[in-house]
Amino acid sequence: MTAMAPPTRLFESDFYQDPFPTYEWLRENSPMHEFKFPMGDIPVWIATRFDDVQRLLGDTRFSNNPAFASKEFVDGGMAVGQGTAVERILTMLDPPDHTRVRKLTMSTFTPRRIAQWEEPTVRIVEEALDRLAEQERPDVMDYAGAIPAHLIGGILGFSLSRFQDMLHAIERAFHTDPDHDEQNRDAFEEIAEYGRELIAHKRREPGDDITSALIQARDGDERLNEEELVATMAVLIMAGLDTTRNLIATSVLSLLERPEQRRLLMERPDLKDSATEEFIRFNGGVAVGFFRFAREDLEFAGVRLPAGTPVIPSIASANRDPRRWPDADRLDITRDGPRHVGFGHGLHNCLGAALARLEASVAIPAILRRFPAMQAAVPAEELTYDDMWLVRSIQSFPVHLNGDAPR
Amino acid sequence: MSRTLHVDGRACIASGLCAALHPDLFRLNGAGVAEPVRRELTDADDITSAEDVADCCPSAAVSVLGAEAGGPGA
Repeated sequence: MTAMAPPTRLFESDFYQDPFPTYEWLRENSPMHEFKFPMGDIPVWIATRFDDVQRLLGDTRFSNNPAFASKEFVDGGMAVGQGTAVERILTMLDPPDHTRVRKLTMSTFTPRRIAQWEEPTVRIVEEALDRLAEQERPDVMDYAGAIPAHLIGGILGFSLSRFQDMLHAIERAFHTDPDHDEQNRDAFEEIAEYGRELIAHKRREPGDDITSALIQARDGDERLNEEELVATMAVLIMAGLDTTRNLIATSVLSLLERPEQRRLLMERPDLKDSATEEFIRFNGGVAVGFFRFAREDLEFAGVRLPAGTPVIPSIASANRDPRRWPDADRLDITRDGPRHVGFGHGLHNCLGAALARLEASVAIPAILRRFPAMQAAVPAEELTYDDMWLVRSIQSFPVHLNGDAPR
Repeated sequence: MSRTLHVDGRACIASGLCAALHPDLFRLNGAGVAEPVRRELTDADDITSAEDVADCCPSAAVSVLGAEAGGPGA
């Protein structure tokens, strides 16, 4: 036992601005670390080394289902979506429910189906760039957000007219303000309610879209019940918007800060796939996975965890572990190294990974190609990040599209 | 009834889903790529489990082939 503490308090404002020094400290000094989560003041653990995070994600002695969580965790209002339809999202289910819902959802989300979205993605990106060029105060967050909004809208079969409402709801849902658990619940309910509206709409007017396919999906006698349908719509909205938006934005930021990598990506379009993997590894939007709960008293990575203990898998930290990648804090789009956990691992690995890769691989190079002289309008240290535990989310990212603005 | 379990190592994106879902049927090699623990499946539950995994796999890399099919060519 040491009295040493990490450089910032975990999941509080200073941490969100730059979590990486704290993660480095944890990997070196306390790789399985117990601390009080700011919401609810509940003791939880966080895993930060790659090997531990990957093993945790694949270890079926842990469950994402808060039914296995300690009483104080549940009583503290910490369970994601507690009391709303969101508590039944695929991310929280165990087999056999998980298997049944994942199969039915996957049947509408196949690699072949995603490949059909390549052309629309290119079009959506070009249109978003046209709009960006017209803006008086161009902001990369607007561009980055427009792409998943239009694409998810197209895939689910409607225009995401309430896109800004949904982003705002996601931000509130995963906000870590100790006094706001009521707000968290309301935000989850708002997302679920939107899902209900979309399902009702597609029941009246079915189309060639994933919402209609999910309503109709059958596997023998199996189909999604109403609750599962709503939860699936909610999870597609939650997982598909803010994650990709921030992957695109943080990657553009990384490239503006590294002229050499930026030039390389422009000169070598063939690097787009390895570059996309590197962007996901380096600062991939998703900061941590959902809480894992020990189903039984167990030992993991050298620590004893009583049944119900919540453990956070830190995706962002695992992906910067120098034990896995030499020079892990350096962005290198030519990297051909081992696989990251940016899309998770195991049962709950990302259902939309192929879609996210597609969006990022088109949107990130395209903005730099369209605006070769683009520069950040404020220094990177002045960008602020939301106090949001799930996704590393930039509030606003103003740029000068054609280089330095006239003074 | 017998079936052959096949994993396409080139299509596999090392998501680890199969080994988490049915570690008795799938394992991951050093690079995280999936491979069947055993190829010949005769138990009805094993076959159902393998088909479940095939339907859940994010890269459609898992297939359960009929008894007469000798696995993929080449």
